[in-house]
Amino acid sequence: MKKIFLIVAISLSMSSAFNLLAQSENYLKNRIMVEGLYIRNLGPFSEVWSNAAGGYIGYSIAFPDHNLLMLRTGFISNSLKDGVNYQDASSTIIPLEIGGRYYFVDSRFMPFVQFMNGLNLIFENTSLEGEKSDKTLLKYAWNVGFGLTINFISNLNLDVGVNYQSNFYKTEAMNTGFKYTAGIGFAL
Amino acid sequence: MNKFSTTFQKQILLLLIISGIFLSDSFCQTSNYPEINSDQAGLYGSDFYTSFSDGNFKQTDNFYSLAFKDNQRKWGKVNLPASVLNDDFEPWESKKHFWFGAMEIAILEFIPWALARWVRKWENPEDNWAKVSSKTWWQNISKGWEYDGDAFQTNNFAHPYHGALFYNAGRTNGYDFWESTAWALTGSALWEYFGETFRPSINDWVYTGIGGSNLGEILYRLSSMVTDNRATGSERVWSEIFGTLLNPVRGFNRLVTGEMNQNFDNPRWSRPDDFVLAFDAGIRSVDLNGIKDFRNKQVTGLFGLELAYGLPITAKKPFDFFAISMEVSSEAPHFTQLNTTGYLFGKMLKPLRHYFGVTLDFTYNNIAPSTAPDAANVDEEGFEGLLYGAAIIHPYLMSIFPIGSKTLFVSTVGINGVMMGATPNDYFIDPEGRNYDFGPGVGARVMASIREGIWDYVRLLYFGNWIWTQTEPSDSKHRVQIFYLEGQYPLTSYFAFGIAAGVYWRTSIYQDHPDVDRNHPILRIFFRTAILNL
Repeated sequence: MKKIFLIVAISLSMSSAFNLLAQSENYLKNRIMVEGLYIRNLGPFSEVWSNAAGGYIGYSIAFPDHNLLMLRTGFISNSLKDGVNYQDASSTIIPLEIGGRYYFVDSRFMPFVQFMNGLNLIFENTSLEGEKSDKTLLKYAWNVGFGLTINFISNLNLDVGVNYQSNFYKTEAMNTGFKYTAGIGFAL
Repeated sequence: MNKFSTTFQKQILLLLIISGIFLSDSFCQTSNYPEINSDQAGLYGSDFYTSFSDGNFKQTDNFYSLAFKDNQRKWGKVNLPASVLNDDFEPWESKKHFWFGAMEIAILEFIPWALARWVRKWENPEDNWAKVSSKTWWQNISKGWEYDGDAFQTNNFAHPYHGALFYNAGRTNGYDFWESTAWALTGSALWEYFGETFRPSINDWVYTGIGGSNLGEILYRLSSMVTDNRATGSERVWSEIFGTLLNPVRGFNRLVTGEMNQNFDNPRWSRPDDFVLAFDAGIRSVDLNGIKDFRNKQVTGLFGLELAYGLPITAKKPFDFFAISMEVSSEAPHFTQLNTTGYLFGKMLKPLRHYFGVTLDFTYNNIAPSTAPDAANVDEEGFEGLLYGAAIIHPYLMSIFPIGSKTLFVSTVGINGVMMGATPNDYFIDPEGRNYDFGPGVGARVMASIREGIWDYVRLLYFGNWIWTQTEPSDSKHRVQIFYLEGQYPLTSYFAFGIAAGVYWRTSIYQDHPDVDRNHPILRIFFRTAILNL
């Protein structure tokens, strides 16, 4: 816990220092973003697919002074839970999402809240019950969270975030989970 | 089936009385309404105004619209001159008040929760959905969305109304339309995840958040319109009462911040340049069965309200233009229709000829005798009546063609992007009693009309949607179509006789059950009066 407080204190101090150095530079810009992700699945879905990993590529449009409209797609691959012995089972997702961020400040350190929603194109060869069947599903996806954008220089930033997702899959087993992302953005 | 005799006689009598009231000089003060003449009706003259309401084109001018031509106009005479107003007063909504809005969201969440938790008597205490705990919160987070089992009226009207209150917790604390939509969605999500033991309901979230934004902005603007900051005395009291009835959250803010006691200028936007209000009364005949050989005709008295606020072609911000169509029936369900549309974006492609617009629409149509949980509306004969509810994004292209010097042909062609739709299900009853189904969808909307002055002589509507239901049976889809042809003949400049015929046609396709095809003919006869210039 002490470490967390220390990190927060250092971050805030650095933020203040950078703000002073940054003067009035504007960091909220249109950006191309590339992110890696890890998802810790929850609920009945996680009893089969415990976690997932993948990445996003997206484009974001800035609406000063606080808002960012985001469009992104990517690739997500679910991993079987330890002890689940489904042969050659795979479940992959191509997300198509639109949403936005609200940045609290426009500075070198920019905390934000984020909401994304869209459709998941799900390709699976095994059902949750273990039956082999190739299926392609189109389901609504939704996630909300918060994060921090750190602007190294005006055109390049690091992005980290934590999101809760509640994506549709089956009524009795929705694709819920906590998603952790980290990536970089390049301003155009 | 044959309730026709005495009930119908009563309805006709009531209709005649209401028509008499509408026709009477004391109600309409006809001397205030100049007759339409060819000079005033010049189509593209400087006085010409146009308005569109969900595919309904309205042509009005200064004489024929209830319009606030400057911000001193109100629902009566102006009480105070500008010179005595408090110029230094800073309206509450001119700044953002996050924590005040958050407190109001908390109050709006707490009141229904506390009533259920401590006041309501539960036959089985285990059914008390308000007994939330950290355990139920984690269950809800882990399990995620589901579709709930509430009655159609609850899901498709009560929840949007609650969402309108959430929305106004943001809107009346200085936030704009889009930001306030986020308030409504957030307020609803908090309730769904943490206010009930039930899993969060996606249909509630969409209807409360999106439907609530639609209704919320409409109520915000209507409340702002009837409230007059410049009035004093009893006129001020009544304007505040009506404003509060329309928008309780705004009324609460005005009360606790002291705005109710201040005299200051009305915001310019709160007095639209164009505002049309019309009432109609008549009878409606509809077949509830939907099967040609087994008709079950229901004849009811029907009373309607149509309202158009602003103009899409001059609108710049969301809901600078909106329209409402509401109907109340003499037979259950009494609250039978509430359709609203509100401007989001728009662009005139060619002046007064082609216009592209996007609206946020909310529809509530209920002609099913009973849709409450525990009502056995689904039996071997299938669903009785017709239902349709949706939150829709509607991009459309409108084209206007003059026919002669006074008449216009107006057409609109658009897409229905259904974020959440509700339609009957013939085989499924939710464990809680819900007998209809939910899902997203897409469809088309086409409208054409021949219009002169404020009246559509002929109006043709096609509304079609595919709804892919997401609950049970999970692999069902529904095609819902409405054909509607309406004719109006104006007897005076403000009063018209009309007749309309149409059909609501539903084709439901089920994976594990026989498909169902129902068509419900509808016939309406009505009188309509437009209150155009108070």
